[in-house]
Amino acid sequence: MLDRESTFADPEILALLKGRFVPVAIDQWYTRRQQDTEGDFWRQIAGQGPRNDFKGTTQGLYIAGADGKLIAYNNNRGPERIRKLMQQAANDYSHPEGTGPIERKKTDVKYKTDLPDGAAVVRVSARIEGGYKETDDNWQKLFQSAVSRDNLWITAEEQKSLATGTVSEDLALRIARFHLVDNTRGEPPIWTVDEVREIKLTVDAGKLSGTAKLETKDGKRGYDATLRGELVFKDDGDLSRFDLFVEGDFWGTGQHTMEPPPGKFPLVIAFTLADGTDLGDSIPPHASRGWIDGYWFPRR
Amino acid sequence: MAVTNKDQFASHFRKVPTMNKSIFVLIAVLIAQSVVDNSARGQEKNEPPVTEQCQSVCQDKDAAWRTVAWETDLLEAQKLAVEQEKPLFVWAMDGHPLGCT
Repeated sequence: MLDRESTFADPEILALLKGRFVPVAIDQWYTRRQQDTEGDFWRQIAGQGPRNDFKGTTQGLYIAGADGKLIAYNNNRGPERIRKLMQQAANDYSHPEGTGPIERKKTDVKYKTDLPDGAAVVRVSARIEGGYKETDDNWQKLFQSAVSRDNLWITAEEQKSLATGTVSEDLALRIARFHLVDNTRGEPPIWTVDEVREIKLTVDAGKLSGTAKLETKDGKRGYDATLRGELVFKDDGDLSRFDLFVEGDFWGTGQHTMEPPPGKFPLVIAFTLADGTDLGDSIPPHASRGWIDGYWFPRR
Repeated sequence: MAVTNKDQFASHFRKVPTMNKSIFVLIAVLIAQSVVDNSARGQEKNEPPVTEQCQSVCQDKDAAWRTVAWETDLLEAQKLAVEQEKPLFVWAMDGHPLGCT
């Protein structure tokens, strides 16, 4: 998230990316596990860097030749260092002789998550509305104003069900477990089935309304929220509009979402039907990583 | 003893014929109902439309990082790197950089 607002907001870096590099963005959680041609190529590149134990993260910014030779690696905050690395790499680069396109010989279906036919993609954005201590630190300011991003997937059948006035249990629980989270500072913990103390979501004449009460057993993390939305359908029952606004008090933190505001703080989450124009619209929901069935059927 | 408006109203009301009293009560009920209805409508009006609320939270569509033509498949990117004779720049994160957190 910080990279988006710092490194990739830098005009020189953007110009370099557009003119001198082939930019690619990946969730290395998948790629380092994939037992296929793409996974092999990633392990070739990352294996030359400091994060070469593929049981752990290989997160970072990498510059590599078309032959997979690592040219530079960086995982520091801020644009200064990466700008210098990019300038040097772009100036020094010569295409490795004899290197052609790599043929995709194998695809690891375990890590291939495709949107099913007729399913809808809904963009999910969250923001903390207050409660942070005032700060002069620019990094903290970025954290505090961050808007997170994920996608909710809704099956064709679930859309038809909504059109007839029923929110399926799977859809309601999917929203609660995987999308009513504070992911504004990093990868969030999802809720277990038992932590969903209550999820009530009904639809009447195109209006969604409901409440959610989510809390860990020890009470250290929770979210009490109200849900309000509006739906519009095409003639065939598919969604043409899905707006859902969630607001409430959140408290607590996760392993990768440290330093929230103290105590209970206001968290809002917006759901809006995607139109395919956003770079992120094709990205599978974060909670589907590694087990898409668990995402579709969240009671499992 | 001071005569209040309330006393004057009560005195006047006692003098009103029964038929007129019924009309009076009916009007009062209608006015009260109108006040309640207006209040409820006001609450709805005070709540911003859902679409507006959702749009206020969405990420900036014009954010600088979105202007870059990011590939999302490493092998497709490698193919382009060969064709264009350019190095790869890989943004590798825990969670997809374009679609998560």
